[in-house]
Amino acid sequence: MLSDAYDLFWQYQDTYLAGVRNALTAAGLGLVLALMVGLLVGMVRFTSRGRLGKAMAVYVSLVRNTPLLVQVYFIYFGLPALGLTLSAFWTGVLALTFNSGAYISEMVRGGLNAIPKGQTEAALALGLNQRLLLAKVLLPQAAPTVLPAVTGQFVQLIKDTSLLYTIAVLEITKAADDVGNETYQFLPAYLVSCVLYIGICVVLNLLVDLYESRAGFSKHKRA
Amino acid sequence: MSEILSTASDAFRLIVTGLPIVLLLTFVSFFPALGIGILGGLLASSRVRALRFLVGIYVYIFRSTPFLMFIFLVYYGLPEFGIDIGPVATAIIALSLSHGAYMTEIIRGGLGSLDKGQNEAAIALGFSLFQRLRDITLPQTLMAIIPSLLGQAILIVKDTSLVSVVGISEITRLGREVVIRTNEPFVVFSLLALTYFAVCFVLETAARKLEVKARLVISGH
Amino acid sequence: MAYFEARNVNLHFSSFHALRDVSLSLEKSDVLVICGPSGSGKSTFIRAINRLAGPLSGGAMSFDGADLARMPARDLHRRIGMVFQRFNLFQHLTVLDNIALPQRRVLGRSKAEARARAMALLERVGLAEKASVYPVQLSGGQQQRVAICRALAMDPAMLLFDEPTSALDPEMVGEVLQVMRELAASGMTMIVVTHEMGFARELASEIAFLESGQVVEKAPPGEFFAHPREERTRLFLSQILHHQAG
Repeated sequence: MLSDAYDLFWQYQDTYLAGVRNALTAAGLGLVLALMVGLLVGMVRFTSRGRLGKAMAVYVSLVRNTPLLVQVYFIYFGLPALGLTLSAFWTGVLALTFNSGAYISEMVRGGLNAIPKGQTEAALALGLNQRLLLAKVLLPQAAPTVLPAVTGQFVQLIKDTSLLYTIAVLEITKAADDVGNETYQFLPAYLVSCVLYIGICVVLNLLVDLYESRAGFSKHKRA
Repeated sequence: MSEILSTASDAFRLIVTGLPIVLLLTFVSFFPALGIGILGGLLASSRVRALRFLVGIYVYIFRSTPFLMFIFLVYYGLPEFGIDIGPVATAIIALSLSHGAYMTEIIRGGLGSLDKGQNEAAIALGFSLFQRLRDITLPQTLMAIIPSLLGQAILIVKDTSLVSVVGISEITRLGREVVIRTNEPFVVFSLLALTYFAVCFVLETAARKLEVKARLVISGH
Repeated sequence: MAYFEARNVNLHFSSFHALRDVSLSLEKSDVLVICGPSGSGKSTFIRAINRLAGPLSGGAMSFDGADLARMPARDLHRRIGMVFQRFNLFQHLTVLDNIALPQRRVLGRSKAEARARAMALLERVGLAEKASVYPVQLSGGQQQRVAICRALAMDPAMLLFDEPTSALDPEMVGEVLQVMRELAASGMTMIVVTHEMGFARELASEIAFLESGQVVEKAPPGEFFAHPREERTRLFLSQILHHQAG
């Protein structure tokens, strides 16, 4: 069976590699965009007790308490109804951004909350304004705790790209499905994709470890 | 307006029929997953390095592969071994194995977080090993991990949305069918999202309440 | 033979020699105070008495005429109680259950009997109104008094105290020492690891000074404070008395 899988991979490596490429691209774009969303939402929730903060809290709670698949469908079927047509791939990236952004915002908020209140008090006593306080005092201190969690979120994003299968984007799971449909060797076809996911994860973890030991961050547990 | 209303009642009907499947799948998968988690957590805390290594591999595989891929693997894999059990049992097996890996991590962490002094005090008072497990270690571990276990239940609820790929008509799939028929994505998917939200929110609130209580009683962590 | 006696006790943690030929003894109703700098082995010694420090690598201990190493664990723990530095109250049980549960599990007392005994003890230390709260809701001093009640409820023949006041805020030290003072007066046999030199001076039958796992000096308090024989004892005393005076 494993040798079947091995043969299938070499026979259909174009399909699989296209799947890997799309998955990594979608996850990478998703991470960059989600980081922006997450930073923004996280900072708003940290600083604002008003209506804006509440709205952001609702967004985060909605994302955390509904399946990603429903979010993907919402965007995939919802946008055209609003007259906006995106390709399936960009629909997927949008859904991943929307989803991961909420999780990253929680990491950012948690990181900011973990900083002792004395830091804020000292900065304000020195006359720093809110913007400088965040940019120069709080965010740099939150970074060492938040960044490892964010790299963990990248692994999660890679896994989440599998849902793009449901809107017919060729990613790693869809690649296995396509190969299976063509050869009727479904189990070996999926074994290949399983190994690909694990391989990507191993490489990512190695890179993260390398980066963390370089940067000298303490080893925080990754989610 | 009446069109939207009929879509809404359509959607409502699908939720009434689809929701029990979600709850059932979650409930039925939770306990095997917990069983796997307890076994895995104990093995991962054992002194035998080979056991810890094996459990580590199991957890690593599931943490690095998506559930959607895994359910296909089980769906196509079991018949290869002459096991034909239908989509619902397939989904339950896939959910249990996948979430068992996460629960292994939760329980290993829970066991590791216990204060050694509690056990020492029990020894010094003359408790037997069995009494220590029953009266001290187990209740404290449970209090520490129940919030995380409820969090895991939320993840199971969300993962049930994926089992439609092996042909189970749960609510996400039914919702999608209604959307294709009526072209009312916002109404239907909003209702769908709210349904999941309601279930998850109840679990989340319970988890938060219990976490506060656990922190009140078990300090220091 | 003394009521409790340790003869040439040695103990290793892998390659670390934690106790070196420690010989100490006390008679019934005596209070033996052990002091010394951190890492001197004083806690290890009393933990070794009730087997929390692992097996001895040499020497022997006897209690009430019996070899401690041969005593079944349950007998040993029933007869020799322990009070910890960090209290170690069971966090998931109320104050009352902390004291009642061990009596039921280990001594086989009925629930009503165990609770009555627990309440009587709580009354004695002035904490009866805290019976139904959880340990985290108590101050450190209150927790330690409950922990003493828990140990006493087992009707031990001897009590071990492992730095019972070191984890307390200064204003709470007194209330715990007061309970210990009453215990000593009632004739309880006690081995106390502590730096509270006032307590030692007032109540100890004998004081032992440990350093690097060895007994440097042991003497009755009058002699120990007035004429320490060893230079190391003098140095330790001057540091600790200076610190406590300040």
